[in-house]
Amino acid sequence: MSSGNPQNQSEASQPKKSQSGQLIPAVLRPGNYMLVRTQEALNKIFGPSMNPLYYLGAITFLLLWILIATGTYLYLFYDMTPSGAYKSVQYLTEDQKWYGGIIRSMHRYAADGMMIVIAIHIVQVLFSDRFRKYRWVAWISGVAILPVIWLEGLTGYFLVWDEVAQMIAVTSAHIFDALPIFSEPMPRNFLKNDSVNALLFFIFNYLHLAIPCLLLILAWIHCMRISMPVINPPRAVTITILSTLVVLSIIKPAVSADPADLSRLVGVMAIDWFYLFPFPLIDWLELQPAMVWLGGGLLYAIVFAMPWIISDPVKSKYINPTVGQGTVTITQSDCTGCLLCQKACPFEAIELNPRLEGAPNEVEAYVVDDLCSECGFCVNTCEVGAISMGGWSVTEFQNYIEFLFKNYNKMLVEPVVMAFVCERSFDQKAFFTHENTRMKCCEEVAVMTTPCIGVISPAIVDYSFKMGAEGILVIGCRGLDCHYREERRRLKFRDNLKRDRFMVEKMDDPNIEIMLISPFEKEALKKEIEDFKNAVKVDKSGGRILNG
Amino acid sequence: MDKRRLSAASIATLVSPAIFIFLFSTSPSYEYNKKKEAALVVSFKKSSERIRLCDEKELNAFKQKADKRRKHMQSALRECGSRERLPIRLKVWLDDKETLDKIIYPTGFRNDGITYAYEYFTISAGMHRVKVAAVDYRERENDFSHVIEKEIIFKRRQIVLIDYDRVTDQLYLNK
Repeated sequence: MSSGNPQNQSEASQPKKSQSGQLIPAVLRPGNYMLVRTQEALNKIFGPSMNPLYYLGAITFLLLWILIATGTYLYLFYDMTPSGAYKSVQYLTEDQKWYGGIIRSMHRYAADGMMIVIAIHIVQVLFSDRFRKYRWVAWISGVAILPVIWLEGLTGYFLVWDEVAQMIAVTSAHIFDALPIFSEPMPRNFLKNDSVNALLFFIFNYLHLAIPCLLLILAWIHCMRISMPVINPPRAVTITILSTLVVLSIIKPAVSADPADLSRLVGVMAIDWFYLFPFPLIDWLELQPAMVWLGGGLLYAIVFAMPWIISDPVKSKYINPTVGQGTVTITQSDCTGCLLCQKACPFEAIELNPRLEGAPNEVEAYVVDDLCSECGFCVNTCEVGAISMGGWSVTEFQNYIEFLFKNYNKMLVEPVVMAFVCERSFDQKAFFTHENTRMKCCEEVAVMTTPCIGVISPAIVDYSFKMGAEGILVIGCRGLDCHYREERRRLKFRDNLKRDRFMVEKMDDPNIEIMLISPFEKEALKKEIEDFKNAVKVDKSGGRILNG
Repeated sequence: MDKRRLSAASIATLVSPAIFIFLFSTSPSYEYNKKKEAALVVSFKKSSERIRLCDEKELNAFKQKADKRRKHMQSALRECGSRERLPIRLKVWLDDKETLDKIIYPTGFRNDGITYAYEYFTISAGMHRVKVAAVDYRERENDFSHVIEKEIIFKRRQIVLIDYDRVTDQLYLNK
């Protein structure tokens, strides 16, 4: 565990330039800018608690439940034979127009919606840099889900056995024929109308039912490695999506093309671009099956390997922020086995080992490096200072606060407010001055950056007051913009803060302000900081006068 | 229960992806096979001859042996002669122009399975002279045991299939 002179340490770990932008790999920065702007715009419309961009995974689940429910109804009427399949779907579409037809349309449009939502979700995860390092399992499982859903869509289209199904079947058979695993050429299954047998329909039907099971397994793996996954969207969002699907199904009912006829080439047809986009592309470019496998495989492999392709700016260029970013270590001799750090860790990266015989505590904590996000939540839960991140334990935090309030450059004004700032929340270059120890807008505000504001514990807040801070500002990211998805945990922290605050004498609510902001709210933030600073006035007689 | 409500602007924004679904779930339509007016498919499955068949002495020896076996184990062809089968040479002429000359090997690691042929030709609509010839191929053999030659009128978007009938042992036109 590192310790030593806090002043030297703080100087050594001072950021030399703005890091907020550098936390995102350079290749993702333009996309990240657009994404944050979009999230911000939607936050204004929906509010952070209802913003659908924060519920894309949950909306996907909602659409999956709709697909399962509507699919179950359709299955009741489906005839699993080449001659009966088309007729049974037509029966649903025309004879049951106002229920079977609507349910069929909802089934189809929910599937389309799922592709849209998943595409946005992938872009969001990519540009918010939430796919690398400890998140690689979630990325891999998410990327694996995409072709599974696509395959599910294709098998669904096949079951209708119209011209679209014919096009899918024949083109896919030619593509699969390029693989050297089939002894009989695959297109022979679709030579004549009587070559298509009930067994083939049984297989496709089976696949269409089995794939959702695989999907649920992948989704489970996906959620297992996400911190606090949200499975259900807000009720109002659910109702709106359901209503939209019903209305869309009434306005534009899904219909079949002409029945499949294998003695004729398919011609002009209306296709679902969300699922069938590769087929026109293959036809238009006259791609050979080998090219399709090579091109598709390469593209998919690149997306799959993205967590390892995109380099980590933290290792290459990043200069440590005020709080050292780096590996979390636990000094076993100091660990009391209190379990608080394990409870604090949102990524289940802290596990317990039984202690050797004769030791005072039964267990000791250790960090599973592969699971650790280096968020720092555990560091300040350990009041004995056994946990450190990048060499910073609770003792170094306290020493640095002491440095900011007691050993600051005496040419500067006396600090009044202690601001803890999430390093990802805004452009620090625009806000910080004096080697990133003060706010530019108001130099009475001392600054300390942290990987996330969840790092700040009541003990740290308490210590800041003891060092002479008149007010505490905690500035973090809004809603699920938090890189560690810790909105709820932050709220819990807030509760803890209130609870512990009563333990500190003469402390009132307005002395602590938590600001959740967007990186683009520069002016608003400046004003809020100034207002807060002005509100916290020091009364030399010992009390505090609070304005506003 | 979550009782938060959405504003009109929120609902409009949330509904907006439905416009994409409305537009792109069926349109724009696409014309497949634009450059293909019609197609000829030559496809069949056929068991070619074994490379080496049983001679009389071998067959008699096997029959004696087989008589002692149960009925389902008496197949002479399974244990007599070579396992490996001959490849099939397939040749296709379109309007008297040689379009394909291909040797197709039987399936199986030991080339002892069925031989499958699947060849796809794009062709313009109208009348065309089509000739397809196949033979169990031994080296330097230029005669074809199976030949079909026809003048066929290809209608627009029609797929014409030339197949093999195992019963009559002939190539035939399956229109």
